[in-house]
Amino acid sequence: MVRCNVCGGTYEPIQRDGSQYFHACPPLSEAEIRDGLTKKTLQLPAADQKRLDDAGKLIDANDTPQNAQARVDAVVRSLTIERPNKRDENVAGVGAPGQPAPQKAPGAGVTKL
Amino acid sequence: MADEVITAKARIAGTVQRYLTGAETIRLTVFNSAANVRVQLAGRRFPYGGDTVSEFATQLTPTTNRLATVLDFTPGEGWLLGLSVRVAAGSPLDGQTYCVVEIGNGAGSTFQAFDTLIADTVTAAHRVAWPGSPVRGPLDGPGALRTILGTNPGAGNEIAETVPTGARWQLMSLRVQLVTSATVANRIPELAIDDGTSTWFQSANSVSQVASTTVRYSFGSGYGSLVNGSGNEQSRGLPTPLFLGGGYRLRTSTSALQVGDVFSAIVYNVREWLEGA
Repeated sequence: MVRCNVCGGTYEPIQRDGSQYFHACPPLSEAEIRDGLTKKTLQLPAADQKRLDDAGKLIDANDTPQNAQARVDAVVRSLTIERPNKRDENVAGVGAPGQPAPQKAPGAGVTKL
Repeated sequence: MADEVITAKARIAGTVQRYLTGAETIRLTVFNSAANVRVQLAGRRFPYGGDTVSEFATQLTPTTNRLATVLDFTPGEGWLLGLSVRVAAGSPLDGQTYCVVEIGNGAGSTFQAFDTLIADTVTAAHRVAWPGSPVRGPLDGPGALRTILGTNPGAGNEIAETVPTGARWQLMSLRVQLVTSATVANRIPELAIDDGTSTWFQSANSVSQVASTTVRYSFGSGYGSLVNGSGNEQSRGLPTPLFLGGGYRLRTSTSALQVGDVFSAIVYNVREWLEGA
């Protein structure tokens, strides 16, 4: 059993049938996205930021802040933001002769439990 | 002696055979995902100028990461009479070990194939040979039935399982448990499927999970939506069939997931084929 040093996920690198398991970190959770937006530590892609900004604007005189917040929530829930420095153990092509195949993204490594 | 050679050659004349000048290479390529597999390539040849049929055999230990592992073998001048590929060690399921035997010129990165003699999956019970066995692609056949234990994400995180590079899956079912914290909120877990970038399916769910509860969710291909009497077992349907390529992801997408909520016990069942990489 190992723990990913980026996302904190725990997993067995070798499955019960002996085959390899290739961990990849999940995207940021909704709570992490909200936290990042609140603390301004998360920079959204320009298109997503525009969707978010537009959703928060009042459309007309009958619109309400509650409706705007519901639209913002819907946009936040629709976002898929990859985790910074994410680990992806899947192979990225064949390695040099005698060397293991390189990983797509080593992230910050793992801790053996 | 010369007459005997001519007679022996006459005996093999008319059978399926390949004349090799001595410059050709026989290449065995294996794509594999099963542990501890060793593959044997064996054959018979009638050497030019020889007076008897000779046999050869060599073995290859493939990697388990679905990348091609290659063995080049130069049989020398003469007539190639037959080849076979079998599993010499390990117990791969149908769909976990795929072999290709080619004849070509050169070796290593300069190898240039001009004929494919064998191409098929092999298991301990399924051996393949030239001549005789049909040439099949890696996606032919029933695939390997696998049960996979996924990553338990950290508290407050969604699950995300990625189809490995070089694999193709048919998702049969996925089961996951969500334990919610004491924070009051109505969580609604759904299963999203993306190709690594774009989400192309998300299961709808209208039943929320409240604080301090444990619910196990089963997502089944072709299954309906049901909730048991106590509400701690819920099922959701998935498209049928549901094929996933390398890099595709199975993710939960949970409305109002709280920092202290924990997904765990992620188990899923797939049919797996080798796309090769």
